[in-house]
Amino acid sequence: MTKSKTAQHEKKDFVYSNKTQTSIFFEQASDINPYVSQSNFLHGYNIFELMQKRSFMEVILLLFKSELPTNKQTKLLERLFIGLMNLGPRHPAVKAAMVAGVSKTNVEHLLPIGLTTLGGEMNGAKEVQKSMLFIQENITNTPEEVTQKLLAQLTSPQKEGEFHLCPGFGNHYGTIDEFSINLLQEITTGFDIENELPIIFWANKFSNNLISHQMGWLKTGIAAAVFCELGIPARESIGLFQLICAPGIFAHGVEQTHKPITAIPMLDDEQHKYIAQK
Amino acid sequence: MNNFEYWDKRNGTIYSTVGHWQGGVDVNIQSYSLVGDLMRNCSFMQLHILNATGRLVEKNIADWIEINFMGLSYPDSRIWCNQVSAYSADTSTSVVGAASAAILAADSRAYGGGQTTQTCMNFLKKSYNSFNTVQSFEDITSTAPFKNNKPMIVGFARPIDRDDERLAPYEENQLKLNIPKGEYLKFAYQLSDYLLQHFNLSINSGGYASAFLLDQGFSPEDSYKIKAFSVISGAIACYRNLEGQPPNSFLPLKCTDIKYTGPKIRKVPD
Repeated sequence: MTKSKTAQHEKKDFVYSNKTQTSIFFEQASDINPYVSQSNFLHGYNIFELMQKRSFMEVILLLFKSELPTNKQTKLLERLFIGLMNLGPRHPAVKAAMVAGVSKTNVEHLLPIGLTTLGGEMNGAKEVQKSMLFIQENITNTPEEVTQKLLAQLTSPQKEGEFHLCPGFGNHYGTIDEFSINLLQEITTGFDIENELPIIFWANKFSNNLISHQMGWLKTGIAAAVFCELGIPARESIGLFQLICAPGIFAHGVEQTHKPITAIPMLDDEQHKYIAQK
Repeated sequence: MNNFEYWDKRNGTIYSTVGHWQGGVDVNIQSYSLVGDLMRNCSFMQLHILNATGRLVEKNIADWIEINFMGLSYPDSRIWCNQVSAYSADTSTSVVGAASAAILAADSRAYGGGQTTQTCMNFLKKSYNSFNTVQSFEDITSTAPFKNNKPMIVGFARPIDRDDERLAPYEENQLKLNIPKGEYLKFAYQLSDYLLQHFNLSINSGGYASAFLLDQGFSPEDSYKIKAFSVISGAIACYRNLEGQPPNSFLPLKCTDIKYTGPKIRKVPD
């Protein structure tokens, strides 16, 4: 066999499947048209039955966890959904959708634009994933140990601007993110945090340790801790965070489409300063 | 007392190190005049590289990178990013929606020419330095993750079962454009020979382009930016292929074409 033929033969180890597989959704084909389904099943449950018996939040958790959640899990996620549904018109992802909206971008692009911007590693969905991994890797240590280790690694002087000590925890515009501290309080109201939400309990102690350094919970950290508590896998958390924040992104973006293009400031030449690099 | 000077300085002001548009007059790009200079003397690829990296490279370098772009964007809807574009056409999105979705799809650690170039350049940089000190190809290869007893090195394997048709035109054009073969490219070919001999793996388009870009002094991060939209042309072609066809014309699936592996049908508990 020639060298080239041998190489081609060996590359056939790399075999593509002849069928797409999923464990999430089953479409029962129509009796008359194989391309049309007559019933759809989510993790084995008939969609129509779920519509009658379960809430949206329960079915979202079923979608990502493959089993129906408990009432406490559902309540926890629902509170996170409401708390983060609208990140507000100053978050970069929302601002991206708004500036697209006012500049007459096709309306169907507004949400993808905002969600792509929300995909980032700082205050975005990738930070949620990294924060989950941070919590999972450190939770066997005490919050005090983790705090001390991270603070000891800090270089001095710190870089200017917002600083995240680790994914999901840091300062927000230089100080504690007061909204996030309050959000965590509201999400956990009525729960026995220490016993019912041990991961959030650990992360909250970690956050409290950072307060004297003007740092603490960030929204991404809260989402990460809740997802850890719910047993959502880290990779799945990326899209789930985007999904949670999607309504506010689109609402703000589409609101601007009804306004003239002049409704968001365009900076003057004097407000755009070019600094030549040496 | 908190200090908000950092944010106050930026409140209502943009500081730019890349350029400035002066309406009705000119555009400054890294201190070059767009109207007076670049539009007259540069190719689009030179301008793009300037915007992506801050460096105005010679035209022959930009021309070679342009040829590399040609090798990253085929009008074939089987390729993953092009499939995405074709699905977008199937639902009649705008062409820009389809092209953007395809670019996002190609932002992949497995293919696409952007992220993969960055990964490959990082590997080549590290392994070239190691090779020039003490390490052998065996040592270098052993640092890569292994799958099926083969090292997984981006740029030195290809997830389809054919050899890479782009290498010959890359070499020919490099010669034609008078760009000498640099040290990284020579090293990449030596590594390829070793991998072929021991693992039946060889250099592909990504490996060649990564070595080329390192030879031209680009960083892996620069190159990720240069190649940010490299798949766009083929994606647009694949959009065009589906344009105007009735819905669900692209790769329609019967219900039974999907293998369901989840729980059996069950009742929702009351």
